[in-house]
Amino acid sequence: MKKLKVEDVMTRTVVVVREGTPFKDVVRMMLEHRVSGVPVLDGEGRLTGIVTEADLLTLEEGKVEPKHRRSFLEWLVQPGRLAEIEAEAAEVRAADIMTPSVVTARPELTVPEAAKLMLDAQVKRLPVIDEDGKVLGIVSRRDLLQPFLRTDEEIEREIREEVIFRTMWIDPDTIGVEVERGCVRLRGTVERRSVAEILVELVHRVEGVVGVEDELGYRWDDRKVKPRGPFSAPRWSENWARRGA
Amino acid sequence: MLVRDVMTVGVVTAAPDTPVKELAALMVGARISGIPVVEDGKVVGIVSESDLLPLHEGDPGHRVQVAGDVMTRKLISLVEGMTVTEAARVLQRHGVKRAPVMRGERLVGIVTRANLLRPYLRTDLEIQAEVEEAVLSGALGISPRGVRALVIDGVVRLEGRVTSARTRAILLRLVRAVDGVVDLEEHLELEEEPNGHSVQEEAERAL
Repeated sequence: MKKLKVEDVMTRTVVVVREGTPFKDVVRMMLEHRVSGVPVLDGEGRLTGIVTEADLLTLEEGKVEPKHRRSFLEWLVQPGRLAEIEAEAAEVRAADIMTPSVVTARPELTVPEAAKLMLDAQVKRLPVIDEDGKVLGIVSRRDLLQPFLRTDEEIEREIREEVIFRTMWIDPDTIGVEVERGCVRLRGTVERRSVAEILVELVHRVEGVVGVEDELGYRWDDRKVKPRGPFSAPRWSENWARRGA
Repeated sequence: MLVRDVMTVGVVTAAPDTPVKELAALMVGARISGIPVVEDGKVVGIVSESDLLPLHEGDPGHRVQVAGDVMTRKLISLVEGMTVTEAARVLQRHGVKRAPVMRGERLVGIVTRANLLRPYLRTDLEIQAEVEEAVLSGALGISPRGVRALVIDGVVRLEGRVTSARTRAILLRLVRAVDGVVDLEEHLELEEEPNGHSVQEEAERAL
């Protein structure tokens, strides 16, 4: 089970704007495409900044030319001055309002690393760029939550192939696995109690699993076998796997 | 990890008649992206940044807009005992970015996507404690003398001896799945390789 990387979860179709895109068009694109941030590209297609919902809400002194200095909130709450303010807004370009220093990610970063970066920098998205600054995609909080949101089919496949077969070395046909909305029901009979317990623990920790209904049976209870070795060997032994060999 | 471990407490709230301008100022000032709207002690809606953005475009009319005009009334809430995974699924299923956490009718916290990413931010000590207690000793019954775990910047280094290749496979899987683990460096030795074959080869032949 490999850790997911940014390139596995990022959104590859990115809504972008140019430095010269009028401010109103930036807002319109964000609303139409339902995105909360858009990367801004220069003439060569390289990333130079990003405009986010927060930028739109905090348009304030210093960010735009003096004549455009106006809290955006003012626009919201003073309808009488709308026409005048809109006329000014028409001259504002993406480059005037963007956040110029963007925290970015490389595609090979792992999901936990990207999440740390995002939370440390207090940003909601990371443009993913190559060595030349070209935008390959964008990774949002939603994308980083993908491991939690795996489909039931993906979860079932991982439990059967990776957990039951490759990790526990049990014939997958002997264990019933049903997954519904992330809840897993395990049925069947294994050799020992400790095997059933470890299987449930492994399934619990499969990404995307919400809960486990344990309906596993076992042929004998090795928890009652005492004493254990002086170095506290695993509670299950490998002998069960060799039965029938 | 559970919702109660990651939620934000001390939630900033608004009333239905709070002006939109104040909501925006609250969001900017407190660096929050959503504000639950409370009336008579009950949560009646939630206002997010996205709810304020369309106001840039449309004609606001001649009345001052208030929270009650723009809030989302569809209320999706969470409870403290839910797992983070379950909470993420609820947000996803209902297409919302945040949800209030309720104890009965009382608002006790709020969970955003950022909160749900917090398991990744666990300290090395927390990760190490879970690896040692829950995985090594708890699930596998391996003593600290058998396998040692060391965590640096989320990378877990495992050293020691395990009884079989299968124990190793189970151990690696469990450790990788611990919240906050970025990667794994494994330096484990096997105690036995019966008949010159790996246990896995034998098991696969047996199936």
